[in-house]
Amino acid sequence: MSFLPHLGHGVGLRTVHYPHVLDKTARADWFEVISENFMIAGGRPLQILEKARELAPVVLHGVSLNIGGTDPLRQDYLAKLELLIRRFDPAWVSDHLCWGAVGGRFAHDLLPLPCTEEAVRHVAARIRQVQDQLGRRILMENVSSYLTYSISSMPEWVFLAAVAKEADCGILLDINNIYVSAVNHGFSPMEYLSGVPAERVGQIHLAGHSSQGDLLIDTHDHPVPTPVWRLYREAVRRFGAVSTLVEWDDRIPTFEELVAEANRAREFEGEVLCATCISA
Amino acid sequence: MPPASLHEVQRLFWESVAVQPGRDSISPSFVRLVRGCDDSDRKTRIRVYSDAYYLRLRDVLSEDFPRVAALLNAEQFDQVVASYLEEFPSEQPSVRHLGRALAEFLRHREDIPKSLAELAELEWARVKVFDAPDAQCATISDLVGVPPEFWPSLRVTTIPALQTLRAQYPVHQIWSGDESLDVAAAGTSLRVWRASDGRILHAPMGERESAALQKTTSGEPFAAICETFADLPEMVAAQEATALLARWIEDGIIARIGSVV
Repeated sequence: MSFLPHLGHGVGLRTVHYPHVLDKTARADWFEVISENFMIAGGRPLQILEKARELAPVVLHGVSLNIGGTDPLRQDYLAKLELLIRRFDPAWVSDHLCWGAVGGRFAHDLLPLPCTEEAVRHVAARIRQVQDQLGRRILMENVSSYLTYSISSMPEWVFLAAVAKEADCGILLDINNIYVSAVNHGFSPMEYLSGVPAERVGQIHLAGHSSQGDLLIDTHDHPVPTPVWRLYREAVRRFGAVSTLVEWDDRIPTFEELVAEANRAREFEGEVLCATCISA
Repeated sequence: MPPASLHEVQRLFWESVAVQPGRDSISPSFVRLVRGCDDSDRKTRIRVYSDAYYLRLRDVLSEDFPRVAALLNAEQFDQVVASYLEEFPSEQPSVRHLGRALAEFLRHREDIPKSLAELAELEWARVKVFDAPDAQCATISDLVGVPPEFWPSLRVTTIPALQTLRAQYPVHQIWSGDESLDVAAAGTSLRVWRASDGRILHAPMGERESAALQKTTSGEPFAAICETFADLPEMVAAQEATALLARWIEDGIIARIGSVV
């Protein structure tokens, strides 16, 4: 059972969907938006987000907190995030368990951390600092990765669980990212799932990916593929009903198709929970 | 040898993927830090990140400077982006600021026509007004309500989502024209603003309008705006200045009718 409310099956709100927000046809259980896109002084995006909030709950999902970075946390960034939280009252706030900047320079990417004791301590302390500053628990998302480090001393799922425990934060579990990284690094996605502390999982992400040679790339430009749906069903079996969101960032389909994908997640969740009830 | 610290890992990672964008600059020390079957496999994995870094930021610049990107051929644009990122990497959590110095960067390149650098300045002004602070716009009825004796001391405020720029080329024509930089130099003043419906607009200004808008943004009163028409008969000057103010209000660049001193 998640420690957060079950909002149902939402979609990532992107610019192409704004007309649906304006004419109030953007029907979804909830919306997730990229925090940084709204850390602005004014303009249309903020007006759209006001309107989206009238249609469904909104969740803020950041990409540039740089929680795993070794630069000091950017206070200007946190101040903007606090302003957004105050204005839009999101159901929760999340970012990624990764790093993205060093020496004051931003890669605008979700770069993998070495899974070491040093990184656990470093990241957990920074998450605690952010949570103290924001006055709320945040969720950290596992990222897709294309490389791992020779200095890593534990599997990623152990790292994720250790950070979440030491920081006392929630987990945004990205099922597609687990699958992509499992293929890229040759681990068992089921083993990953079994290592995730169920009580900390507050949200699930689903998305599609692409192939590049022997590697899978987290491109968010395809429907959720069958192996990811299979893993999602297993996640529902383990974690129960958790707010789930379909991300689609490139070659974005119509809003109706996006919602259909979210509804598919709802059906899978229902089937699994129903089967679990019957077998119990 | 002690294991690399988190900071050292990140420094080597950055050096390998971002210091020379679009070029292979993988640090051997970083290769040793990456797991893989062999060095070729390790480098392939690192290149996913270096390619993504360059391509992602190139796309951002291409979206923020669509006309500049269209007027350079693809190869030229790629080269410009690679050199620009090397000199001006992103320094803000939001990628929206990435293009902050592109116009200046282009201005200093001898292989780039000056008109293209000015076009970049126009496109960046459009980016800046897109998310500038909101403001309540004045209406014509606000003007009507001002008693005649207060007009000379009337001060108006422009909206924050307004930028002005001066160029040596008619960059608005290049912006809206076909894929060509083949225009003659002609001193041009432009205003760029976000309309109340969110559209980003720009318009050329004549000498008088440009001078009047500069006085307005400097906080000078209506009497000073009238001075820009001083070569005309007094009555005509006042009418022209009033018509100009009315046009600004209709365009939505006047925030409010300000204090009457």
